[in-house]
Amino acid sequence: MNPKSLSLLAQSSERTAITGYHILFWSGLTYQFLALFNLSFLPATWGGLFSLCAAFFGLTLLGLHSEKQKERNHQPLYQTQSKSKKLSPIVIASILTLFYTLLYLKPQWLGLSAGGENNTGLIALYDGLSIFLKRKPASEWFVYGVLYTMVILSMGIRFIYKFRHNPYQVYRTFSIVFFQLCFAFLIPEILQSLNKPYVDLKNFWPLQYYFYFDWNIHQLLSSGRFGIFVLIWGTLGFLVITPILTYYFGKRWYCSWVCGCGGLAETAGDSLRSLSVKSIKAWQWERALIYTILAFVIVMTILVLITNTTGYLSSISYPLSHYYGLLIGAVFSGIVGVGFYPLLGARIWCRYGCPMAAYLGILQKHFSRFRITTNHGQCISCGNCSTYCEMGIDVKSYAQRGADIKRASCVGCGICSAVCPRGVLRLENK
Amino acid sequence: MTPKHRVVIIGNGIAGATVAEILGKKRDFVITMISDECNLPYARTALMYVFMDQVRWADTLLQSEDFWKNLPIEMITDRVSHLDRIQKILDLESGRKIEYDTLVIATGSKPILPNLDGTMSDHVHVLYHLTDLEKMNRQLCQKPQKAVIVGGGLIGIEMAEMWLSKGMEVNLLIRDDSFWKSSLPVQESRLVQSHISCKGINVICSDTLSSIIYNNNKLTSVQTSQGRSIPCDMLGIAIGVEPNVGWLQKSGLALNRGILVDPFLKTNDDAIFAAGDCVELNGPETQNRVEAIWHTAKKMGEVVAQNIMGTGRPYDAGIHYNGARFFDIEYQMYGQMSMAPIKNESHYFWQHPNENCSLRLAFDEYQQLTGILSLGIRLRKTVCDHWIKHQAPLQQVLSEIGAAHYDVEFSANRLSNMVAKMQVITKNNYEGLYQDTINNDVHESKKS
Repeated sequence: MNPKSLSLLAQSSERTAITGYHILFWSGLTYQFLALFNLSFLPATWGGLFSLCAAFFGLTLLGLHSEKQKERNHQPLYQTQSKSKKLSPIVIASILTLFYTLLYLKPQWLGLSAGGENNTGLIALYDGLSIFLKRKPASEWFVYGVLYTMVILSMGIRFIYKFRHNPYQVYRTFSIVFFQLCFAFLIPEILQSLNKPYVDLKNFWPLQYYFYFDWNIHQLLSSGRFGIFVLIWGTLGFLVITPILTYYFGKRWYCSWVCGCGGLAETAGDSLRSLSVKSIKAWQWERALIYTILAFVIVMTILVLITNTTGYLSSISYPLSHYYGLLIGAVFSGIVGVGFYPLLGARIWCRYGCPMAAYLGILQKHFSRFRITTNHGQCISCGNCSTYCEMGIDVKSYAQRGADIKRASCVGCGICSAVCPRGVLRLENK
Repeated sequence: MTPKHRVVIIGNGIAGATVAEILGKKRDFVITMISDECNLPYARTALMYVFMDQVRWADTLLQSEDFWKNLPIEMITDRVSHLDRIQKILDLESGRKIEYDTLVIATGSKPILPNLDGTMSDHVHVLYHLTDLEKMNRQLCQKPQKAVIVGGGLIGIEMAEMWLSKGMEVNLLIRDDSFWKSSLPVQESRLVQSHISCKGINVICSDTLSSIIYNNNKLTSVQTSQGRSIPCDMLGIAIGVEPNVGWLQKSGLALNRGILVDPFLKTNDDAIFAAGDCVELNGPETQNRVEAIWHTAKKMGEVVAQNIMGTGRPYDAGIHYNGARFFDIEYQMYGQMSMAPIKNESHYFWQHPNENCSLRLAFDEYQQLTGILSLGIRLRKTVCDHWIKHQAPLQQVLSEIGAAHYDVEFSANRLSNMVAKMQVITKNNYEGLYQDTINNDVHESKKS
C-alpha cells in the first residue's frame, strides 16, 4: 500500500456557506479593484474610506467566524491542507506577485500622478487618509503601508482569538501588531507631516540597508537634532541593542515580536506554516543565500562609506548599491518574499534572504541564552512540531533525542510548543 | 575479513527502529528490518493526526528516507511465515529466506477484539495500523452519521476525537463507572469525563457491548449488556491491546502473555532478543509486566541494541512516565500511585475551580513522594523524576513545587499558587470525599 494516498481519499468536505462577512469583505475588495480602472462611483475619499473599512471589518469578522466554526466542529488548530481552498495557490501567488511588481516598477498604473496632477485610480482612494495624516496626497507606498498594516491588524486579531489560551502567543501578537501600527506606519507618517524625514525607528541596519548611504545621512544631518538622534539610535540599534536583547531573549525579540516582515508572516501567513520546505537541500540553500546577502550588505556599506568620505570607488559602490536595492530590496524581499507565500510558506524572506535575520541568527547560535528545551524524552515523534515550523527546522529530530534546540534560523514563534500534544517543547532564556 | 554480524529485526515500530538506528550507526552489522506495514518506520502515535489532516504521513517518519539510506540497513515489506531457530533462518511469505546471527523480535501488540459475531466487517474499526486509517477513510466516503466506540481508555478517546472532527455523533461505551478508571483516580476521571461530555460525546458508563446488529450486511446498531440499543453505522473497538505473539506458538520460544525475556531482554534462545509491546518481563521482581508504552519500547530498543553490541546492561524502566491527551487536556503521570490512598498513604490534590486542570501528589507512609499526576499542567520531567527517584519528603516537594513549572512562558505558575489550596486525601477521609463526588454528579445530572 502507499500511505501517501491516505489523505487523498475523499473526505466529507462541507462547503462553507457564504455569510454577510464574505459579502462585506469582497464588496470592499471589489470596490478597490474596480478603482484601478477608475470605475469608482463615490467621491474618492469616501469611497476609499468605506471600501477600506468594509474590507477590514469583513476580513476580521470572517477570520473570527471561521476560527469559531473550526472550534465548534472540533477541528484541530492547524491542518496541512485547507479543504475550502477555492483559489489555487498559484493564482493567489500570481496576483500578489503582480501587485508587488506594479508597486515597485509601474506605480503610475495604480493611479500615481505624474508630477503635480491629482492621483487617480486606486491611489486616489487613499488621498483622504493621507492628507489627514501627513497633509500630502497618497503615494504608492502610503497605499501599501495602509494595506499591509490593515492585514496585520485584522489577521492579528484572528490569531489572538485563536490562541487566546496561550499567553505567549497573545503577548507576542499584541507586540508585533503594535510595532507595525505605530512604528512602521503612524510615526513615520506623522513625522512627515512635521517635515521630518521618514524613519522607521525599529528597522536597523543591515535590514535597512540604506541607513549609511550618502543620501540618507545627508537627509538626516539636514533635519537637525532629530536627524542626529536617528543616526545615533540606528547605530546603537545594530551595535548595542541588538546584541544585548538577543543575548537575553534570542532573535525572537525582533523576528516574532517587532519586525514587520515577521508580523505579516505570523498573522496573514499563519495557515501557511506547513508549506515551508523541510528538505536538507532547502537548508543548504538557506545558509548559502542568507550569509551571502549579509556579506553583500556589509561589503556594499563599507564601499559606500569609503566613497562618501574619500570619493574613491564610486564606480563600484554606486552600481552595487543600486543592484542591491533592486534585486534584494525589491525583488527578493517584496515580490518573492510575499508573492510566494502560498507556495513556500510565509517566512521566505526571513529564512532565505534577510541580512538582519542572518546577523541575529549568528548571535543566537553562539551568543544567547535562548533555546527550546525538549523535556527529556517525552516526545512521541508525532511530527506536529516540524510540520508547523515556518522556518523548516526539523524540531522533532531534536525532541525525540531529548536535545535542546539552538538553531540560528529559529525565530521563536512558539508554534512548535503550542501544537505539541505532549507538552514537550518550551521556549526558555536559561 | 570476517563476515559482518547479521542482525534481523522483525517489526519496525519504535522498538525495532531504535535497535536499527543504534546498530546501524555502529556499522559493524548488516541489518535487515522486516515490516508487514510499510518500509519506513513512522510514529504510530501520530495516526490520529494523519486522519485529521493535522500532519501528512511523511511528517510522521521517525527519520527521513535519506537518513536510513546512509545506514547499512535493508528494509523489507513482508511477513515472516516461519522461524527456524536451529538453522537460524526466517521464511518470508514472499518465499524469500533470510539468515540471521541475531534476531530481534519487536512485533508490538495487536488490538483485542471482543468475542462476538460481526467484528470482522468494513464497519468495525480499530486504531493500530495504517490500513486501519484507510479502512476508516473508505467508510467516511459513505458519510456515516453515528458512531459507537467501545472502550474508555487512551485509544478510545483518540478515536472519539478523530470521528468527532469529521462531524459524526459519537457514543463512548465504557465498562467502568467512569473514564479510564484503571489509571485515573476518581476526581481526575470525572474531570476528564465531563470535559469529553462538553465536547459533545455521549458517554455511557458501566455498560459493555453484547451484540452487533447488521441488516443487509450494513451495521445498524449495537446492543449492550444493560439492554441499550444504540443505532450506529460505524463501530470502534478500543478495549486494549495484547502482545502480537500468536505467530510464535510453534517456534519453541518461551511465551506467556508475551515473549518471556530475562533482564537483558534475551529470550530463552541466546540468539533472539525481544523488545517493546510484545515482551513480558519474566521474573518476580518485574511481576511479569507487559509494558505497552511508547517510551518503554524505545528504552527496550536501546537496551537490546547495547546488548547486541556487547556493552550489556539490564533493562531498567526507570521512573514510570506516561503522557496522553484527552481532547484539550494534557495528561502526565510520573512514578506510581494507588488510585485511592491505602494504609498510611496520602494524596495531595488540587483542582482548578473552573478550568480543566488538576495536580495530584502521592506520598507513601513515610511521607515521601511516589507519584505525580497532572491534568492540563505541563511539568518539567527532570524535576519530577529527581524527586521521585530520591523519594523527596513532603515538605521539600511542597515548598519547591514551583520548580516543576513547564507551561508556556507568561502563564502563571499554577504550581506555586496551589500549595495552600491543596486537599489532603487519606484512606480515612476518602470515602467521605468520594461520596461527595457521587452526590454532586447526581445533582448535576438532575440539573441537566
